[in-house]
Amino acid sequence: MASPGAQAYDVVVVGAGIVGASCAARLAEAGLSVCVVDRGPLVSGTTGAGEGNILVSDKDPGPELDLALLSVRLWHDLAASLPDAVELEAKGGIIVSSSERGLAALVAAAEHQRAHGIVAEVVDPAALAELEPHLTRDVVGGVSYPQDMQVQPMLAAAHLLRSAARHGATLRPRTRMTGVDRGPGGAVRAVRTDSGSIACRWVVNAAGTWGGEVAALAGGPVPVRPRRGFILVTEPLPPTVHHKVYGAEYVANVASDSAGLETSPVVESTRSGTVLIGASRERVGFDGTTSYDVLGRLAAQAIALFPVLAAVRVQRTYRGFRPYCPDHLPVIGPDPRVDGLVHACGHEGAGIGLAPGTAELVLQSVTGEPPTIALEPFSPLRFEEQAA
Amino acid sequence: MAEVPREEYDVVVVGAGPSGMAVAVEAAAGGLRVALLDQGARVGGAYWRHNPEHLDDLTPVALHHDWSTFRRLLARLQTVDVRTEHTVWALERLELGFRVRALRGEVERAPVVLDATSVVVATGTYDHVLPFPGWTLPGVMGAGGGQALLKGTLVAPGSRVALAGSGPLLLVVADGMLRSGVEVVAVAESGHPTTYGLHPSSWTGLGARTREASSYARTLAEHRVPYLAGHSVRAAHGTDRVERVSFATRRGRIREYDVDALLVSHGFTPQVELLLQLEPVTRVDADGSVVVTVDAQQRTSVPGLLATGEVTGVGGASLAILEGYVAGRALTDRGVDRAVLKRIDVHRRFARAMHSVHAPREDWVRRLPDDELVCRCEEVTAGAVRAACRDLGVDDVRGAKLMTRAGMGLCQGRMCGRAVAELVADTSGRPVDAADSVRAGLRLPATPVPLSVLAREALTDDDT
Amino acid sequence: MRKGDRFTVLLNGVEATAYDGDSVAAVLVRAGRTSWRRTRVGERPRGLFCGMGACQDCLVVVDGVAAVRACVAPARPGIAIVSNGGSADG
Repeated sequence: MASPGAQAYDVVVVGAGIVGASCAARLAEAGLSVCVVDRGPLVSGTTGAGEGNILVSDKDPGPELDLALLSVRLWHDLAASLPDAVELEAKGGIIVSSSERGLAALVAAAEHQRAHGIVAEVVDPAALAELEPHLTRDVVGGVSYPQDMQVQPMLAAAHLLRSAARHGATLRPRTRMTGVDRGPGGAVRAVRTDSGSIACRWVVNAAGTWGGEVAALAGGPVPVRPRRGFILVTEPLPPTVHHKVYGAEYVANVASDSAGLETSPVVESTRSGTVLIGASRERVGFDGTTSYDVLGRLAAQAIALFPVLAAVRVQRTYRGFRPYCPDHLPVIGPDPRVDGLVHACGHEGAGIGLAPGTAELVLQSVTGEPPTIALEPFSPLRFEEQAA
Repeated sequence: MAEVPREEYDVVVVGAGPSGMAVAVEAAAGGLRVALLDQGARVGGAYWRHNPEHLDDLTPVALHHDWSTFRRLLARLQTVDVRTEHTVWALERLELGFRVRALRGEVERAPVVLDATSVVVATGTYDHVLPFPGWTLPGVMGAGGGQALLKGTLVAPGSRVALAGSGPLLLVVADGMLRSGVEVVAVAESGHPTTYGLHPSSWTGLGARTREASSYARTLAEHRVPYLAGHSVRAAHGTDRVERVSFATRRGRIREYDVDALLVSHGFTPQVELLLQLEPVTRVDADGSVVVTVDAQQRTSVPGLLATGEVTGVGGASLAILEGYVAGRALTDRGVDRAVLKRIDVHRRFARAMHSVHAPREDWVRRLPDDELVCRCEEVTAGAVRAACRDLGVDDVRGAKLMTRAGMGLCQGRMCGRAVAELVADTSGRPVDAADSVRAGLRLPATPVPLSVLAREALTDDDT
Repeated sequence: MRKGDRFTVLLNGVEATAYDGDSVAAVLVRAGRTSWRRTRVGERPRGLFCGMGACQDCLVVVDGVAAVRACVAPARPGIAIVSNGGSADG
């Protein structure tokens, strides 16, 4: 098929999930000409399997927390322009513990987080019972994070893409990127796809869990790998869980390096009345086979937190593949190896929350403005150094 | 929590309709240890839905078809472990064989786990009903569902009933209603069955079928029930239940009837979700339904997983029984007479002809107003789906589901899936994709499962 | 005349007659109901639709257990059926 006209774009964004959509919206709103390609239909990757977490509570102080705080602020700004249908809600998160030792660790972590801009309030069992009447009484305390938010990620991404389109962006779903053309000086001059070349000066790798593939095709490899997660969806219930509620193990598992299965309870209600139950992490490549053991653990943990859920029924289960890098930080920013390549992937279970901040950094990478937060920790070159 | 004890079988058959009964009987006759599961309280499926009173009769009952075949198979089930009130929610492939997870009792919801070397899925179909204005009014129901109520419980779905849609089921159900003393005010068939004439070869060898069809036509004539060819439902009217129905021809001629029940069928949707959990090769059949591909022994592409009856292609009970027989014999390494294979061929040819006659009128999508529901469970309107296509670029069923919640309710898209696919295709301009339909049909669990049951699947550290 | 065994069940606290072979739905329909539930979003009345366990419209409470499919659940002596809505007119 011939190349689509002679139009040259400033930027081609590869990936139309939440990160790609956020980047496309910011770039287009800034007046750049943008083309978004995705090998599947819009929002068909991990965003379609996401829970919709916008969290600060699980971030360690450091670059990821800086990005999270930036993003949460930007999500609040977006609330004005996104329709109510995206269910953006500052519902807040609560981490609870059933052991004194666990609680002590939570409280210590919270103090550390508070020093870096996170709002965190220690809550005693009486306060917990008021915040979450159905929570098990077998808790010794917890920490409340009012900054944690929730959104319906597919709708959010779809509306961001729509905003990009309204500002002139072209959307090309079901178009698979196959490579990058570089000019005599080595700079990007086109993205190759299975339906022709698209001339451009910049290419943004927002391909999520497939960001490693796209990066390799573009000449700037980065080690993004899949980490499988399952989610249980219950039948609709009257309001049962009022915040995002996590068992204390949740935080630790995100940072773990073990190859095997890790599960930790995460429970929250949605506007339609269903309760979403997570979270599991496994390194099994792209194997999508249902693990009944994992489903069982998620169910057992949810019941432990909310005993009333025992008789509640699961109507649907699904799984997704989170993109992760060895050091659990995303890859963001220009790739020195390929002039014109900008990465924006590897957000491991935090893609939705971190998308707006990532989009801002990507815009700054393209326009040459100084980045809002330092890009070095997210550099695509860091893996060679780490390996060394 | 304690693990659910597992029971072992050579074969587990899921679905105790005509096909499943035939498989189980034949496999047990070959010496295998067979479990036959069904979600109903009695075997027979929808086709042989019956009331205990019917078992007292030694002569064929007016409501039933092939009743003597049913009695014969029922008697031979003595050597089969029949488990009624079992709803299977998952099929898992093990290293050797399969694990079948079920809930026993619609109220009890007790976990049951069976391990088997082979599994045969014969889960039949449910009515395919396309949305129309007023279709969610109480009293509007699937024709097969209305018939099941009458056959199973001797309670009629209404006292003034109309039938509408397309397909031979309408005549069958009308006949049954009339014989039971229910008033049938009209039967509206949107197709033109005279086009059977276009496929003369399809009738060869189906003399019984021809006689059957004329007998239904005779019953309707005897009761002076108008048979309205070329008419489809324009709207069901009523406040809290259906009170009136209006039919219309393509040219706009309208007829109205007062009713208290409207039974509708636009064909059948095979219940393939358990099969899809194991990712066998599937195809889209001539009637637009997703079915599983099988070889001459009814084996799917997954070793040890067989499928018989409507889930391999809608073709009626006689074909389903023959396929069940073939599968039952294949499981015990026995072949079948060539005469049987020829019969199967004849039935499949007829089924193909039926599909082409009774294709629903394409303009149902265009005639569905924006404010009418397409998804019953989540109460999503046609307008919402159209808007998602226009405004958000949705062009497949999955996208429609994620953006509008159509298909996210308790029935998980069973009722609306095919309709949403056609609606999306019509609005977006992108034709319905087989892969999309398969993905939309994957449901795990296949029925809602209590968290406490699921929790028992967690392996303790001793197990790992 | 019905030949089958007769027994009683409770329907919304009131005794109702049932017969061997009845589903819970049959008890409701025989009692004159076309709908016995209201939907979550629009509170629309619902009763039987598919009649074979697929549509999840016909849900009732039986012996305290919610979301029971009336067309699948057999009626048994002494069960307590509670419907949460539907139209008063049936």
